Amino acid sequence: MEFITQVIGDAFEALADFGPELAGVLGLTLVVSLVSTFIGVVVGVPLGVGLALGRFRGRRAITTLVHVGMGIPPVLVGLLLLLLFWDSGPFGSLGLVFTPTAMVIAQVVLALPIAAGVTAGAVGGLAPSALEQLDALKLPRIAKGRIAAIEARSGVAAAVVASFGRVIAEVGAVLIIGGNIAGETRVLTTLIVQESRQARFGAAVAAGVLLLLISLVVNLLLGRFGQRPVGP
Amino acid sequence: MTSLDIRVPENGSVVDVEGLVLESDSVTVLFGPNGAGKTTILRRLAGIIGGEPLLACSYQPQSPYLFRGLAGYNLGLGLDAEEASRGGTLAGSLGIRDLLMEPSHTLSGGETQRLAIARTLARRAEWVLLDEPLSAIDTADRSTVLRLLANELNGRSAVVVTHDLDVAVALADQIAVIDHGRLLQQGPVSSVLRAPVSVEVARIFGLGNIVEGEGQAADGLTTVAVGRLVVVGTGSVDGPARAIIPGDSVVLSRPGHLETSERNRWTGRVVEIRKTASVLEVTADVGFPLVSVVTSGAADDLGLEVGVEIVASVKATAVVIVPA
Repeated sequence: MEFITQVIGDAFEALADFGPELAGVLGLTLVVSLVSTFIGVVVGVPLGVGLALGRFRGRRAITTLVHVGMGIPPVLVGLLLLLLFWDSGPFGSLGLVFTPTAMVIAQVVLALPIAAGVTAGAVGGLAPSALEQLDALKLPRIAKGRIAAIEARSGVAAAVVASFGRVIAEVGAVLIIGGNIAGETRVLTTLIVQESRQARFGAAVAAGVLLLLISLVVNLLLGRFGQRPVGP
Repeated sequence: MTSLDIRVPENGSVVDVEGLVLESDSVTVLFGPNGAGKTTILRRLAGIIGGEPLLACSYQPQSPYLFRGLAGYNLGLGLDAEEASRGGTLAGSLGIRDLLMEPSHTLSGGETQRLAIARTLARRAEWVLLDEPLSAIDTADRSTVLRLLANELNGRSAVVVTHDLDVAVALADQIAVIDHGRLLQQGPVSSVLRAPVSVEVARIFGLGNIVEGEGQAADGLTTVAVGRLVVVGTGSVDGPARAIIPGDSVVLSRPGHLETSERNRWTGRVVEIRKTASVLEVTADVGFPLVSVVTSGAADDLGLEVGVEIVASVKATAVVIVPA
């Protein structure tokens, strides 16, 4: 018990000493996760709506791909991107290894299938009468998708929350592709790995508290957006 | 005029309609009991299932759905400016103009259906397809909405699904009788109603009495022996036959009346009197149970009550004889 009290005390101390280094880690965490969630959602939500409403060739194949993507291990994504971006790899000339850009790419790969898959489930799960009415109205494709997404907006909000959740909690991919370089590619999750490995538990817990706070704030904001109106 | 073959597998059973004739500038009603496959046919025509639409149409599904937003926003969905203004006028005729600024979820089922009717009619499409357009409208407003619908559809090409005979009769130029996914009979509404081709069709129309016996054809009429009685009707059937006796063609009188021209004349006693919304259904045992439809005024004049002796007569031309 004494140990835990000690760790908590250290954590508070670390938070109280909040300096430029921790601020940098926090800032990069926010930028990487918000940018990748944004890209994942902007591409993934329309893709999900399309998968739910569309009748096109390859729809099944893409749906399967999305479902696989929803469960793909992050370390595997990190590894694959590392191979692609490695100096002597196919995209080595881009010089992306161990950069925040590569971390964002990895996070998008993780967030996009979640955004698409959860959205497709929500739109596909609309009342059959709603889906038939949408077909009957013979709207242009974009308008139809927009109405469907608004109708399923609780589900779409869940897709955004889940995408952000995957990204903010993720450590494997960003560790491999980012390298956890202090002041460059270190984020809160990789900081926790780093500090725990060196038995600096107070600092690790402090980073964990910050992560939880980010999650809480973002989810509160998204929760307001996704609230259902009163009525059926 | 188009003749369509429609084959759609539908949870186990198959809708298989051959040669469904749809005439332009006239209203075809698909009529049949619940689960007959009418909706499946309409959805196929609209291209909701089974591939591309078979008709360029404005289609209203059985359960209209309003999306989040104002009722007026829903009214305008999919309509251009001119159609939307027509939609507004129709909404006025249907008595929902005041609701257009209300959130869609505050509308009742009947109001939702009126909005859907206004939107579907407002669209300039070659065909109008309506699935049970009056299912959610209250009895009080039914005739108003039905009249408006009849006026609006007059001269347009339309296909309307219903299982209500009054809706069918009010709207139809042509009627196609559907059951078990098959087309049983089609043609102008009056001729189909007057001459159902089979007992199934007659049953679907609920035309009342069907009795079986041995038929003997002569001069375009058939005499069916039912026990000691005979029933004379139109049709040529030699052998096992069924006579379809429409309940509203049966004339009841008290014994001792003057001779009349009816070929069918049976005596018996009233065994049951059932009150429906507007008329009485009187069942008499004349050797077989015979249901006749009379107004309550007529029933009072005749002093009809259970046990009273009556004479039932039907013109042979009102009775249809089909093979059993």
